[in-house]
Amino acid sequence: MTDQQIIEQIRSNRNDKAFLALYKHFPMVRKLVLTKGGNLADAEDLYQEALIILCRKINETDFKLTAQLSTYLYSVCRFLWKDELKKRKKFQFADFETGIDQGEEDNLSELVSQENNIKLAEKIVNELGERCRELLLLFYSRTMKLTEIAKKMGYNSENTAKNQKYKCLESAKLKLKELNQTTY
Amino acid sequence: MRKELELIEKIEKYLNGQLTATEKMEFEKELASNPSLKEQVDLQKQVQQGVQRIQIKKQVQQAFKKYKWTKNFKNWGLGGLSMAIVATAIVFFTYKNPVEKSNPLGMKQPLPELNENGEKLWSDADKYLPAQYFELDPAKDTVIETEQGIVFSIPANCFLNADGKPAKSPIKLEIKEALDANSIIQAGLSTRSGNQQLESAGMFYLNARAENETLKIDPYNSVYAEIPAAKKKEGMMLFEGKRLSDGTIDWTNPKPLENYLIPVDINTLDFYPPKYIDSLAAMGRDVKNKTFTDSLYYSFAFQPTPPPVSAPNPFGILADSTRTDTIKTFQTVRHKDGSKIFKQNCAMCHRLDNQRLTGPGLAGVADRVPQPTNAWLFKYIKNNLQVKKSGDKYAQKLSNDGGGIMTVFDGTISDEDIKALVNYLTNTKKHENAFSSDPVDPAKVKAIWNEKFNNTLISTKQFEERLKYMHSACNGSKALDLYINNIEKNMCTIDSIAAKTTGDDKFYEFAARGNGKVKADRKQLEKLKFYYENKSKAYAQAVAKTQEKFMKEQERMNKRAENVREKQNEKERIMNWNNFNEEFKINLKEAYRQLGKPYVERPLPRSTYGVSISMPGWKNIDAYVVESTLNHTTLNYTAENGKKAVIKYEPISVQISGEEGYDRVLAYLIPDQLDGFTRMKDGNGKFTESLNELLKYKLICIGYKGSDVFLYTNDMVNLRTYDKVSLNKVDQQTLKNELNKLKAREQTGLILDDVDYQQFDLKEQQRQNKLWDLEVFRNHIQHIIFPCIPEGSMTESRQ
Repeated sequence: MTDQQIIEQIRSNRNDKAFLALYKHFPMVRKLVLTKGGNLADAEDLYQEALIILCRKINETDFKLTAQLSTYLYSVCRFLWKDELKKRKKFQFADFETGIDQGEEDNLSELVSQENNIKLAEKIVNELGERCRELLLLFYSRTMKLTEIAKKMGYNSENTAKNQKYKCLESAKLKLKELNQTTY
Repeated sequence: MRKELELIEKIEKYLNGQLTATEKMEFEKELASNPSLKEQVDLQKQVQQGVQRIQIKKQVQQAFKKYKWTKNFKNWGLGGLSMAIVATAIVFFTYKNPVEKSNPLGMKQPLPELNENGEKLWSDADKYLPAQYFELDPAKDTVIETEQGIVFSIPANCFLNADGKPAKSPIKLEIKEALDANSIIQAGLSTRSGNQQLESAGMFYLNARAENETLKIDPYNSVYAEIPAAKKKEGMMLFEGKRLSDGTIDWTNPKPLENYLIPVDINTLDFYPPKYIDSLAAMGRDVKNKTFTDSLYYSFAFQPTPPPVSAPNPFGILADSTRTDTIKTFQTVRHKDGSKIFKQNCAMCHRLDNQRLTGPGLAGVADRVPQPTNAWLFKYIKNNLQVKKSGDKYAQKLSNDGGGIMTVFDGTISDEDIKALVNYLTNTKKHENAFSSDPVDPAKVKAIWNEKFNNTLISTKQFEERLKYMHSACNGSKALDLYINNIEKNMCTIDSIAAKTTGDDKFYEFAARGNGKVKADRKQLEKLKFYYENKSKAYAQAVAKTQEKFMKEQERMNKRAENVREKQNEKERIMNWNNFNEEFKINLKEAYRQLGKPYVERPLPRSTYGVSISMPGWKNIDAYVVESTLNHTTLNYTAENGKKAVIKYEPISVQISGEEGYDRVLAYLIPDQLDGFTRMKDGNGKFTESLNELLKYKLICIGYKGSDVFLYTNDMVNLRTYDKVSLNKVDQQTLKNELNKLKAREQTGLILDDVDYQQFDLKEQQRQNKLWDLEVFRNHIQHIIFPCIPEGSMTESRQ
């Protein structure tokens, strides 16, 4: 799969094959992490995070490739890992070049901090309770129609499903608001 | 709907771009002015993104699982299921996988008229799975791998025709596979056996035809298949598939799985110790040259009849008292030198245990000093002040630790002697643990790493993995023997035996995998055991012989060099004595003349060069002249009658420009009334001497670089300092001519002799340096090949 194809797949929400193709570059990242104070689990988590971030970047911004996608992905991983090492206070490993220029690094930095906010929301959604969580996931995966969702979740009508969804959203928002406030 | 929920609905429409243009404009106007609305929108967006993130994360994780799974296809046998096919059959395992969007498998495939049983019955699976075709020569053993990674090991003549005889014509093999749930579902395969539901890990279909006739598999010589699976589950079995009239397949006749190994070409395996190739590559050696990497590795073979407590040494020669004296002398000479040098130069300030005298005790010194140990000790002993000045922290710490100031031995002890000293110091510790280990003998590896062992459990990836472990474990040799001596058994059986014999639990881990055997001829295997034993011995002996030869040659050259040096030294001693004698006469004559005394020739006693000043019968003045001549210092004597005798010695210095670029530089002075030359004292490239005012001198400077000689001559020395003397390259003839031009008396011949000697000595030094480098290199490699033997344990000798 070419880089362009991968990007198009991700933009059209056909992520599975794209991710699989991108996993081809995992060994490189694994080596990076293992030689810089991490273990295999760290490498796997890091790569997962990098792919999630990359996916969001492709979808939400006007992402243009200036080099090979693998190079960019690798730089992102280096950036993330450096960040992680600093968080873990392992400064003796953290001294390496990320390979991205300052401008792009700033972008990434912002992207990562946004992602951290999103992680908070993820946490909240996971804590919402099985029904809410499943309902929201069904809606946002965009693969099922409203009627199908209603049927699957056992609601009497489509409207009920919609209302439930909004109630779940409301609950999530409230919790998130609280969390945001305590985090600050 | 409540107001709040309506708002949420509106926000959602906004976030998803579902508002009309006017609605959007209005909404955004309100956003700009209403901070609490903005907060709501932001929160909702965040939640939305959070949900999306959960989804994306799932997709990434699935992709990762799939990625790992496809990688495992390449891992031979590790967690792989294996079974033997007794009859052409459809075998069914499914793998639990969530439904994904799939490849178009629903296309119908072209089918022959009759199926493998000769019936006109086809299932949906037959129709809907694509086939892969392979052509085989039935007379050969073949190993094939399908697109999804199933490996079939097909022995020669295993396909039988209708008469029950092996088919002779080329065989067309048809294989269909469905290893993921996707393909299985698309192919319409069921997961039922009668009324029971099955859980499985994949299915495949195998059919063989020759000349359009379907063949059967010989039940006594069957095809072996290895299916990649992420996990092997307990109780997994092999089912045969029976086609039913409704197009499905029923699974019958379950059999337990066997666990055969699949052999590969032994030349594709890597039996070297782990890190061996990488370390060589890091040192810049050509690791692609297998002849080199092999011969280097095998040169570390253990010697025949080693004494029970010795480590293999880098030259492969053990200090064994049963070996010939010459080798022993070589080694003991090395170490004797070291201990002698130590006694003469170091013992007054250092002990070899932990006690401090003027200097610290040297026990375990190799573990304390900076790496690389030998190089650091060398430069520190040679000139510890320079090491300190260069900013070496450890050196500075040493001087702060108290004690006295350490002598700078540069110029007092030769480089070779310092090396011997370093070697001596780093080997005075006992390596007890190393000798209790039992590392893998390279000779044994050489014996098995060839085609003779193809098609045995040795030529498998599984064995390669175990051998890598044995290299790094310290009990490898015994374990290796076990595998060879039990080569006809199941690998897991041998693993258990190895675990018990070595007491190393890692082998239990190997045993737990339940690896089986390679199907091979039993007689053949017995032959191989025999071969292994003999070849290992033969190789070890061959290695010993080669290295003995090498050592003998080096020893011979060492002796020769020693002889030459002694001769030269003797010659020079005589020359210096004569010089002294002559100069003394001249000085004495002059002194007497100045004092107005008559000169009486008085020969110096021949036996002493450094004559003691208080000799009976000598007058005072004579003693002073002796001292002055000996030391080249100005004579300033006043007799009782007030008369003075003064003979001046003026210092001269010569600096050769670019002297660092030469291998060696020397400066000679030729006094006109003497027969020999005087060597100027060399102080780090600056030559000094003191000249007798009664004599006229010529100056010769000679530099050596490689095999070239460089010359400078000065007919009459009249300056105090000659700095920036530049040398010109000369060939042998020009050298002679230039020296002859000086019209020195006997000295030309002597200097030419010395040039010959210096060139010889430089070559010798090179040879010694090479030997030293080789020993350091081999020592380093030895540590890599035998990780249990600590680095730094070079030749152990019995003194």
